[in-house]
Amino acid sequence: MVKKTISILALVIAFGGLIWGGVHYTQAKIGFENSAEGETNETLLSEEELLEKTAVVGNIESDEWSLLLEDGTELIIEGRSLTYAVQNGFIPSEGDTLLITGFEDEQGTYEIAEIENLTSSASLLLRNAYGQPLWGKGTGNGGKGGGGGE
Amino acid sequence: MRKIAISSKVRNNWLIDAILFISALIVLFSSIYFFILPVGGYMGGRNPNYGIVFIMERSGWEFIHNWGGLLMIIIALIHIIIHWKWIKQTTLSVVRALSHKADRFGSRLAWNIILDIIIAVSFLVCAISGLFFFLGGKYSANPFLFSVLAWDLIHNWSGVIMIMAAILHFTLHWKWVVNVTRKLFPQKDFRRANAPAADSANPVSDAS
Repeated sequence: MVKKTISILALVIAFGGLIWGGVHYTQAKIGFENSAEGETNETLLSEEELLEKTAVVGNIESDEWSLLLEDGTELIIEGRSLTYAVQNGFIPSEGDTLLITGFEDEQGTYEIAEIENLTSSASLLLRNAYGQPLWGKGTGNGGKGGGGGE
Repeated sequence: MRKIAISSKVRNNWLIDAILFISALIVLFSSIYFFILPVGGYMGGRNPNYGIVFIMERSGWEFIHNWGGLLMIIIALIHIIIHWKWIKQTTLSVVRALSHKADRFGSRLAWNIILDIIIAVSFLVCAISGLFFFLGGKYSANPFLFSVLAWDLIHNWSGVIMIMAAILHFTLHWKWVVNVTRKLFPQKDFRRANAPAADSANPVSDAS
C-alpha cells in the first residue's frame, strides 16, 4: 500500500513537473517573440535616429560575433541578425573594421540596420527604412517579424 | 550452480531497451535545462538569463540534447524493426476488434496499445521537429512548413507527451524489466543456494 502510494505520488510529481516545464517553455518563447515583434515600428526612421558606430571585429564564433566599439564597449551580433548576415555571405574576419549604422529602439537597445566592412568593402542591409528586419514578415522572406531573436 | 535460462532474443531486446532508456534519460535531463532556461542568446539585452552557466554552457546542453536525441531516434528505429511483427499483428487485431470481427482486448493490453500509439505518434512528431532543428532549421530565414516558434512548440509538447506516455509504458512493463534484469545480472541468493533452481526451467518470455 505504501509502495503504491509513493509510486503514484512520484508519477504525479513527474507529470506535474513536465507540464510546468512545457507551459514555462511556451510562455517564455511566446513572450520573447512578442517583445521582439514590438521592436518594429511603422514610421520611417529619421536621419537623427540613425547612429553610426565604428567597431573592430573581436571574436567570430558560429553563433556569436563580438565587436569592440570605439568607446570600448562590446556589441554582440547573434541570433537571426547573424544568420541573415551569414546567409547573405557577409562574414567578416577578426580584426576587420566595420561601420555600423543603427538606431535605438524603445527599450534603448541598439539595433543594427546596415553594416559595412571597411576592410573588405563588403556591405549588408539588415533592416529596411522602417527599422524592420529584412528576415521578418512583410519583407518578402516569409519569416517571422521581430529582430534579435534567438 | 544456478543455470540462467534466457533466450538471445530477450537478451537483445533488453540491450536495445537499455540503450534506448539511457539515451532517453540523457535527452530528458538536458530537456530539464531547457525547461528552466528556455531562451538562449543575448536578445538585444532582453534576456535576463543570458550567460547563465549551469554545469556547462548552453551550447554543451544543446550538444548533449541533439546527439542524445539522434541516438534515441536510431535505437527507436531498431526497436520498431525488432518488434515489427508484434506491431503488425497488434494493428491487425485492433482493426478487427474495432470492426467487431474479433473479441475486444483485456484492459491491460488495451492500455498498452493506447500508450504505444501515443508514444509512436508523439515520438514521430518529436523526432521530425528535432531533426528540423538538428539540420539547422532554427537559423533558416524561410523555415519549412511552419515558423521556427511553431516548430519549437511542437517539439516541446510532443516531447512532454512522449515522456509522460513512456513513463506509463515503463510502469506497465516494470515486472518484465525487473525479471529480465535479474536473469541477466543474477545475484547470489544464499537462502536458495542449496535449494534446486525451480525457476531455471522457465525462460522469460518477450513482453512487447
